[in-house]
Amino acid sequence: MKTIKALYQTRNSLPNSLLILIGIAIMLSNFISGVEGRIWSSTKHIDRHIDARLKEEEIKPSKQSKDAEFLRRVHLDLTGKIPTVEAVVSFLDDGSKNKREKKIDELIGSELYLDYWTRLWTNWLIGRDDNNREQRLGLEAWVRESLAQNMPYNQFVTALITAEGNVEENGAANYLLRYDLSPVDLAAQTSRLFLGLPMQCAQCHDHKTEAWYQEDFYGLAAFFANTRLERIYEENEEGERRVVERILKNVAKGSVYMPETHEPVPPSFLDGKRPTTPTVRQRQALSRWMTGKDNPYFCHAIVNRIWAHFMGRGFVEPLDGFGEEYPPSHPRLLNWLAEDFMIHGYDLRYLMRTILNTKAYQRTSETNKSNQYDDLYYSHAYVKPLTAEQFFYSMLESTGFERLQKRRDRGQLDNMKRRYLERFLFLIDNGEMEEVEAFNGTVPQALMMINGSLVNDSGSHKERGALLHYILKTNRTKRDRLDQIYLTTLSRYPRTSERTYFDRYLRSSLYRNDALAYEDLYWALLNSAEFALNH
Amino acid sequence: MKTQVRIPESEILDSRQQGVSRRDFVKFGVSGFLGLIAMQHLQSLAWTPLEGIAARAKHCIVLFMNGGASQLDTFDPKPDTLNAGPFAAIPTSVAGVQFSEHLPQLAEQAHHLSIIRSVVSREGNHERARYLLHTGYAPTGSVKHPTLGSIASHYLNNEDFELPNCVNINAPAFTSGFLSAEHDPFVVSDPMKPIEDLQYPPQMDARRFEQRLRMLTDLQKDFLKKHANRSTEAHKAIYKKADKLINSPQVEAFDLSDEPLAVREAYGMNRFGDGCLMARRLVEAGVKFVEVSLDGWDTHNNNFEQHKSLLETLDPAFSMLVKDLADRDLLEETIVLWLGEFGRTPRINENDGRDHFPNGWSVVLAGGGIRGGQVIGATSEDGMEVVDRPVSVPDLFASLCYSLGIDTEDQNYSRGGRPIRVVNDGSVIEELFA
Repeated sequence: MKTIKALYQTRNSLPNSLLILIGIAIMLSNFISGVEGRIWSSTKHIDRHIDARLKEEEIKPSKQSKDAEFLRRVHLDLTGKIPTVEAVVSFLDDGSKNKREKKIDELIGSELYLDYWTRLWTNWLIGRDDNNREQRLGLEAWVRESLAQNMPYNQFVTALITAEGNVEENGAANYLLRYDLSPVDLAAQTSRLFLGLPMQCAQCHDHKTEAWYQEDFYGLAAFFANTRLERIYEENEEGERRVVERILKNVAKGSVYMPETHEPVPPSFLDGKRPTTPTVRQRQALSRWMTGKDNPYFCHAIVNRIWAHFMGRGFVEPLDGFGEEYPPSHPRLLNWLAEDFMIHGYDLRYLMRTILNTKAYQRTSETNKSNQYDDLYYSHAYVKPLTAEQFFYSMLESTGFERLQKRRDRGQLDNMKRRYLERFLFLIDNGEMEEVEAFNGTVPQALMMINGSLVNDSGSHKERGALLHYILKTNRTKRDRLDQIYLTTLSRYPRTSERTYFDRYLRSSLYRNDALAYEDLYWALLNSAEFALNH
Repeated sequence: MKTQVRIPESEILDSRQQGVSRRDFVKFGVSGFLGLIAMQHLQSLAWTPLEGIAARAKHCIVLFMNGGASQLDTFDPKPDTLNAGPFAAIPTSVAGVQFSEHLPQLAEQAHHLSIIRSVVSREGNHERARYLLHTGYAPTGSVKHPTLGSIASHYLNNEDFELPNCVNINAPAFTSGFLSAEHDPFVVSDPMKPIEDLQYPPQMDARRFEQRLRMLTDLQKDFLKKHANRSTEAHKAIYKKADKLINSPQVEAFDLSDEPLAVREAYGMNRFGDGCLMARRLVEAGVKFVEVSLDGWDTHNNNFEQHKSLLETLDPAFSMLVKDLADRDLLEETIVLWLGEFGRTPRINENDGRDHFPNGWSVVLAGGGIRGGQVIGATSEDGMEVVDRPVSVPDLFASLCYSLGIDTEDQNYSRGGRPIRVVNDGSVIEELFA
């Protein structure tokens, strides 16, 4: 009938018992190879695959990254901001062989990791539209708790799709509420995010390039048609009613209709099958089908999304481009990773560790003659523009905003932060669902870095409370001062050539006070491409 | 023997961005691959407008009704029908053409306006429709198409110009997509406030600033060389533009305090009114494209109450803009387009609201060589379908490009290397210019 549906129908999955056996074998082999210095077999498998492909394409990969380069990247990718100066120094001083692996383990699950991935997931789930604070906070709290427990991904998605009950107690319900329980909006977002399928196009017309018809889309939407929000009111002495409880529940009926014919559409999975459960349990049926072992998109979509987050490019791009038009760059590896993720209990942290320990992830972003045009085979680390949020939190770190503003009260600080962040986020309309790149063409942001108070106040040599003032006061030699300024801004030590350059600058700038040259340096580094990019 | 001068690639890229003249080009005597790229570029520069009508417009102003305005309650009223709603229809300066009663000042300017009542699209989802109405393409995911303002900036770019060529007021903007980052919109988040950080901090002066910038250039040379890619190119382009802007006296165009209070009041003294006034000032200063947004049209509930208040904001600002441009002889060279991402359902829902309706809705044009005082296309009595002269979104884009003298057939390359036309599948709405 249709190719993708055919994929749904014909795909053979491994029998359960075999999956369990493979799982045990993998766990055993990890155990035997020992904890110290182990590189997981899955990680090795990825590198073998990527390297073989590079060889085939006759591309010479870049060398492995230096420690400082790795550390900055892994901090940005896992915690959403650059490392502190202390973290850089202690990592560079650490002489142990497996320090990268240890660092990855330390960051995954840390408080900063939870903060960052909570924000990421919340944006993926409900976008960045901030109109309903209560909804966002409710969902954030639930996401954070799930991430803290490392809830298996299939359970995570099931909880979101099947949420019911008191909204205050079950924060997952805010996913459904964000879309006003609209069946079509929920179908669009659910298929897009969890299955990587661009079904939203089929809302208005049969898909142009894929084998999706309008009725497929409405069949999916129908699963959400019987969900209702019940409000329980209380009346006070003055007779004013106010909501005391909101309860998400399933009712026995509810339909969606085809737009032109106005015919009701029954719930139907994308493989054409119909649920056999009673109407009130149909969202459970949907989540069972979505997260089922036979579904060829569920694991693929999340593995691809996480891979893209770390590697700068998904096997399938765009992330919701599964289907015919955008074939994966490494189809076998993608299948393998999806299967591996399933075998390991849908464990997101396991997936992250597997990817982050690869040589492919840890390559330098510097290119050579042979791979400078490669943007498909992972021959070097791809430069990722910092997202607006990564940029913002990194800037707070490198301007010492929180450390040096301790005198101010919390509320004032949060307000200042929110104001800055809003300026960063306001400027780009990219559908609200995707990450916003910090320097995607926004001169106002460059102006903020060039002339704005955050950069220039912290970069003053004489203001008490300014970071630069503090650095110059606590470091007396030129060498130490340069070290501190580079560590603070670029998370690395200066190179010899950079020290020489600064000496020359000091002589030629004709400042009566050397401190002005340090101000210029601090400003220049914060305004550099090296600061604005994840490389 | 002719000597061949080797030009570093970065230089070539720079001169391409600024638009080389044919003579510069010959002088350098570049050959081979780079020559080919540059030749293609020259061909696109050498393009002349379609035969018959010369390009009149040098600027474009878009007034975007975010959320989707109701055609029945604005420019396509259906008095005395089931779907009419409570608003009455009033006569305009053009015989036989009626507007909603809440657009009295615009009604007086109707002779400048061309109303298209038959726009049809297939995108009824806000995000998708907004993308379509800004780029002329339905979103496909992989290809990021440039927004109209970036297209205008790309083709009408004047290298000596210090202001951004494309400005968006009141709302976030779509990006330049696969065009160069220098054509990204400059976003003014609130026209009632001064633009932030345009001035040096107090301890800075021009000489020291120069010195700092040089330090930045010197220090990152090595990084940029080892990371030659789109992101670093974009970073460079944006800093170059920011630097130009900081030192430009032309930034006065953003400063509304120069305007007499009476003028600001006539525009409405609110974010949208000030935005329209700023658009006029920017166009006067030479900016190619300005978009001003008015948010709040997604009226699933209480359509009429909400539309009434929005129309009270729209009416003075839009009509003053047209009048002001006409009084200053700028209307002929400025094409103005009023639209939202779709219209709203003729049928009124149970919450006294109207829902999304892409099947037949209205947009309004003025200036830029179009003939005012006409209505193009029509919807049925109940408003449910287009009965005359359906107009597609690409048709609209083709017409705007025609007015601006941009070749719709010209191709640019997506990041994936696919050639993509400025406008796909659209034809100029000839009645507009007849």
